[in-house]
Amino acid sequence: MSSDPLLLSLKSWPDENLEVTSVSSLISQIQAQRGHFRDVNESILQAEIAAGKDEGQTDEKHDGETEDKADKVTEKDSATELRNAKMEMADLVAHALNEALLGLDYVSFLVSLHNPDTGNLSMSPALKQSVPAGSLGFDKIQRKIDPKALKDDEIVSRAWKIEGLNSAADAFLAASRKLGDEVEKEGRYWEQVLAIRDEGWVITRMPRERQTLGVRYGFAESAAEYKNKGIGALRRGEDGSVAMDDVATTGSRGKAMLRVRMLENGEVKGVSIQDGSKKTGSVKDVIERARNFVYEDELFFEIMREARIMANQGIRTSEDGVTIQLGEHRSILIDMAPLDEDETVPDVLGAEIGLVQGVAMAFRILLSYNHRLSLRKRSQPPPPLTQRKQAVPPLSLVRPIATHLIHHQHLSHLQGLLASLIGLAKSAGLHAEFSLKPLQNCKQPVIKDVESAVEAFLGKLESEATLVLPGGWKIEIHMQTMLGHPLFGTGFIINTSHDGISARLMGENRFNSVEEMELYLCWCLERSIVNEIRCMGDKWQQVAQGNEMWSVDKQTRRIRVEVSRVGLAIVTGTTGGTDARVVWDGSDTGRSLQDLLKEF
Amino acid sequence: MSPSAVDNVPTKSSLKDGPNKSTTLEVRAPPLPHLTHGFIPLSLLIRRLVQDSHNKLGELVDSLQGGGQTDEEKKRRIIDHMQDTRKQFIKVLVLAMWSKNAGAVGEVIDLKLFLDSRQEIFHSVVYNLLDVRRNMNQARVPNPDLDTAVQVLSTGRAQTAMTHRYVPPPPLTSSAILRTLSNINTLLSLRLTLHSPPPPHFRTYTIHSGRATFTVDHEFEVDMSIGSEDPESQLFLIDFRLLFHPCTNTPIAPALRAEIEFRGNAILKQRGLEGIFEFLHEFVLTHKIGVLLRQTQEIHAGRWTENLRVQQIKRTLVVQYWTTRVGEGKSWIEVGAKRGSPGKPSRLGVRWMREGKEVKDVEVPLDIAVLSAEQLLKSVIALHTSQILTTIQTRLRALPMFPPTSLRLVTHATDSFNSFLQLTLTPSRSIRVLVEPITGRFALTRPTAMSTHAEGRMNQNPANVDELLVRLKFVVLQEEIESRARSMGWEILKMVNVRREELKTFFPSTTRYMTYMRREGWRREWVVCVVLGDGGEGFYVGKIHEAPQQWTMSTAILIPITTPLNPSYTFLASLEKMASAIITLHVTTEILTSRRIQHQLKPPKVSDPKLTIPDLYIRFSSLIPRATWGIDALRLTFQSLADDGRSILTVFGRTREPMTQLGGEIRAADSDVSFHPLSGSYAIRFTVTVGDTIIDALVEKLHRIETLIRFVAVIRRFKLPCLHVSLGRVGFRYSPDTNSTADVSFGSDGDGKMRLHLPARSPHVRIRHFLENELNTAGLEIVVMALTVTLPLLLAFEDIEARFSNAPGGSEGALYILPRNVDWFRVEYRNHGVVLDWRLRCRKSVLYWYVQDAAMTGAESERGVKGRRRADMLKGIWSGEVDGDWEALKIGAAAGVKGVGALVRSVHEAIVEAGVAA
Repeated sequence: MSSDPLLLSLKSWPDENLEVTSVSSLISQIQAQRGHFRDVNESILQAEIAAGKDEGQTDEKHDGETEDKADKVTEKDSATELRNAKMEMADLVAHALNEALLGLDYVSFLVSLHNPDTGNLSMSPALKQSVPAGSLGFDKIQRKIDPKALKDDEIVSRAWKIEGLNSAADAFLAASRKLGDEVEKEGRYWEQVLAIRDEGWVITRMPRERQTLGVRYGFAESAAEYKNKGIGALRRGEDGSVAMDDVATTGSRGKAMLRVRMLENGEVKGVSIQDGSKKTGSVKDVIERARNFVYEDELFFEIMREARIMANQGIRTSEDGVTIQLGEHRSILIDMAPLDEDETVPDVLGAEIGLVQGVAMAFRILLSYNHRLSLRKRSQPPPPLTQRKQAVPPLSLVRPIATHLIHHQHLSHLQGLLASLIGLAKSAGLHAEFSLKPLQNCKQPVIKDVESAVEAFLGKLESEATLVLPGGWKIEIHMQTMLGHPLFGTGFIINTSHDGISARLMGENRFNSVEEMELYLCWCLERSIVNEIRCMGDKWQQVAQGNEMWSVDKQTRRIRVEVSRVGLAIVTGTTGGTDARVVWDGSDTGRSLQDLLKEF
Repeated sequence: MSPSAVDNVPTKSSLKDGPNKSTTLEVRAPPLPHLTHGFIPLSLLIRRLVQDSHNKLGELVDSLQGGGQTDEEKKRRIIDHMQDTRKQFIKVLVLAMWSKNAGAVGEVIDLKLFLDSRQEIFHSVVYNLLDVRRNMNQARVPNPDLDTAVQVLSTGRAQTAMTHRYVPPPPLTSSAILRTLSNINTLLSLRLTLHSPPPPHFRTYTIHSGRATFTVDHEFEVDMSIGSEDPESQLFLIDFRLLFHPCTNTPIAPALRAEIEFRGNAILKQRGLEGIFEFLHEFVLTHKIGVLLRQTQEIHAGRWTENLRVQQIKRTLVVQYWTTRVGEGKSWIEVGAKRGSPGKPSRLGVRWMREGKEVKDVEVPLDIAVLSAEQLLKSVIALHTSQILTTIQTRLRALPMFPPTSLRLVTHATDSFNSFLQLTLTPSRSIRVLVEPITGRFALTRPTAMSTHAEGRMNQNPANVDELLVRLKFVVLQEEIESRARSMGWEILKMVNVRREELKTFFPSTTRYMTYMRREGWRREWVVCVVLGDGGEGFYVGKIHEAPQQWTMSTAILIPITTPLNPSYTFLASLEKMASAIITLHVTTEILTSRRIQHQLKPPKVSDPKLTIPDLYIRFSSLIPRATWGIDALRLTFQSLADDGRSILTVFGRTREPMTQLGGEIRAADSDVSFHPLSGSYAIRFTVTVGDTIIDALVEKLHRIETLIRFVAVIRRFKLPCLHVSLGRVGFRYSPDTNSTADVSFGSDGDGKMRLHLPARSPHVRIRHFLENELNTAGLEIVVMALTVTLPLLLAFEDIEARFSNAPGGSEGALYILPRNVDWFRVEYRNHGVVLDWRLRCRKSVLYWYVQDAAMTGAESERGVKGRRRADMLKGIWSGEVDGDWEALKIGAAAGVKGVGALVRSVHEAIVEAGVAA
């Protein structure tokens, strides 16, 4: 070109390979070659170049790759396969639609030349925008038919026909084989379904897919939210054996079961064993597992529902669990957790494994018990119809367990308190003792049926303790726990019996809090020691039933008895003098109260 | 139009065209065709009519001749015929008149014919043209292919081969693609930098892999590229990714992506980057709302069940929470797109409707980077909770019974379970007010029967929570006081029921709760009233009276309590002390006032900081008039309580002069009274039932002290040894003899008389009554004197009595010694008939015992007593013949006080001897 001087011009000549080198054509070429533009990026390309595959990859290769991928996908599971097939079909349909629309556009464009009204009607807006209507002409071309070509065509068409017939025969054969297989598979399927039914499971139609069989493994007495979750579709598997849908049965939290943990100062002291049932994978096991998961899921749901009305009992709910606070440092954490993978029981289960395992088991028993209650309630005539919607009250799951936990907590606290008070008295050389009878009212339940076996552990819990203090004091403590009317916690009925000299009041006293009870017992010990001192030969006289005493012989001498949780203190003093304080904190000081008084 | 009019037109036009033109175009009117076809002469018409009427007339005449017709019918037919004929002729007349213009009508017809022929010609021209056009269709030439023409002209060959578009070009190598991409990168960066800088929200972008990736934080990331080198050409959307949790890693559904790509490209074409930003931004907002909706529905199916109401109204997500909460309007949040301001795009916003009212001053935190419906709900609920608790706190803080230290508010920004308002109800009990996040119910922890009751009420009536908490505080406090008091042995008087009006006079008007308690052993009318009210707590000592219908209250005294209330066991013990003291002091002052005795309450000298009980000062001289021995101030101090609950009071006083005369021996002698002789102070202790007075006892004690002081002084004066001294009894020895002791007791009996106690073998037993009488009338001084003076005599009497009874012949009842008075004894020897009077006389300041024969000196009545005779045997003594330590006085004898024994014995012996002799 440059050799021809006449063709020099200031204007740049159109590029030789304009079609090939322009960005637009390159992009479309890339897209045709590599699929969507978004799947192409520099790093892939550089990697390819580095790998020495710097060649034009054809579409076929690309397709082959995707097919490979698709093959891999099929192995995964049928759902993904289905989804992929759907997408593929949608793509094809879209493609066909596009082709059809293009054809329509083309014809319309042609028609618009002579018949603009008709043509315009069916032309797409995009086409109208890009070209003026009627700008494409056509003409009939007469062409002579080449007899040789005609002959070729006939040969080709015959070959096609034969091929078509062959393929039809093959298809028929395949179909007959497939039908045979199908019959076999169907037979196996029904056999297994029958076997499932014979095991006692209820076979039913799936609620939304009327043509699919399902097995009902849920519980008839479940809450409304779980009524429909307990059905699993029994589908026919590849080889005709029954395969159950595992997806719909596992509840919102996946394959998890209730986990109970015990925390002390933020440290896990015990974890319940997350052990599912057998894992052989047979259909029956799958059904059983599904049932277990639904049960666990419902259990957790009901626990959550109940826990939120018990906020005042120190029970709190969070996104993933329920915490029952027991005192300052201990708490029980209930949540859903996946099954333990391995069979071995890990060491972290900790010291409180018995407690947490018991709590977890009790939860499960209680849900079953609540199901029974619900059945009993349903068997009775329904309440009269009212305008107001009857709210479904939460089940009673957390309440009994929290009652037990709180009772135990208070019981151990009481035990500690009594032991420390006794220790104080003993370290001062006084006689004191106590005995504890825990859970008096649950000891020997009369078991008539399953319900009564559980009922014995519901309701009020009662423990008793007897405390013998110096000075002839005897205290009977009756401890009751009930998280409802009238106690709303732990109540103490304390019966005091003594000679009535150092304190006037005898008989029953009721306390609704541990602290009050503690104060009262300290006060009792104080007075009983006062009485004890009085009885040591009438040398001391009590001041107005208080904790102060003065000496009968020397009136200026006074002593004061002070008892608190941490120590028993005797303050001695004379009028006008300084006070001296002697404390027994439960450890052996080798000096008794009597010694002290003698010295004084 | 007439032909002349046609002529006129060209004339006019020629005139208009101007006179200058030599040649004028003249259009001649074309000849009109003349139509005569179908024309009929008028004459023919008339002729035919005449003929016709003639014929018809003939017919009529013929028909009239026929029979069967009435005359009337005939006449009618004639008239009809005539009328018809007339009509016809009228028509002809009209035609005849009109035919005068027949020529003109003919011309019009011709004209019409002419015009019609013209129109015909026009139509045929159009048709012919159309025909030509139709025939021309075949003869079109295609548009020249200028592109190819240029190519051919410039390069000399056509490069667009026919197969070019059908045979794909050779595949591009990876490096070729890479080159293309970097080429596009360059183009893109040039374009975005120079030609069309992106709008403000798209300023963050990177260019790589042949695309520009625009990032909008927390929303989306979009890849765009060009379709051609032309900087004005449209951009194309390549990929679109969401940039917020939880959608970051989940791919967008292919259908959705295709839709976005399709619409996005259309928008890019029309509105460019501005448009695509707006489109994608709005899409993301909607998507976010959709995500939130799905999350809300998920949690609604989980633990939030029954307590949410989820609704989507157009593009706004409405979530109502706490649906089961009672009262005070609904609360909900609306999550929607908030309109953006200029320069700022629209954004996701939360509108919070709290209890039916929109909250405008609080911005609800919504994390647009990490969408979480639960987190959003929790933060809104936490805000709501904090608002509720703060309101309660503000309302409670205004009340005096909730000092600032008793309220502790802890709020948590997101987890309202950690928000609480801690109320100190009593020093030992506090309660936390929580709002359960899911249900919105109040929870009081730790629960008790009372708090659970209050909790139930709070949930029924959330507007009244503060009031219920106030009540709870009172109830808990009351319960704590009552329960602890009961443990301590107080009696809680539930049946006491005093009229409210009456209470108002004693207690603050804000009083709400009252508890009456009484300690066992108190007098029934005294109680302690625990008053709980808005103004705080108060403890009062009250005096109540039981009436048949209603109790009444007459007194209420506030018990001063300086420390903040803590009803511990120690406090209750102090309360008992304090109340007992107040009751006792009150009763005492009341009596003093009623008796008009001057008194005054003063702060104590030594005080226990915890228990300040005032001392009562009583004016001594006012209490005991005329007494001058004590200084005026008597201090009454509440000491303590006895073990049976009675009050122990001590009264301190001082004598004007030191009581040195008491010596040391008094100190330990009396438990009720103690003296300090040197200073003259004394203390008296009383133990009284709470509610009783001690004034009478005090007066009595003071009298006894007075007496004691006097007595001891007397005893001292006589220099007698005191055996013991106590407030009711003074014992002394008036002679070394063992039996010579005497006890004087005073005030121990109710009659206020003093008693003289003598040992059983005391010689003075016989004159005890006289001595006692003397004691009560003349005082101890006389008695002591009498004792010492009469002692020798009485000893002598005892002696002779003993001798007499020991004598062999002596018989009982032979000797009678009759004391007439302390200074007068009559001795009767019944067997001898002798009666002697021993009397004490004073002569020249010396005391002597005179003995006389009663028969001689006695009264007349006695002289003549039977068997009585003069004691002649004593003449020897009387006359001084018998010598002794006495003086003979002729009719008697006198002996000194000490030496009287000899005289007695001499007299006795004389009489006895005389008797024997007789």
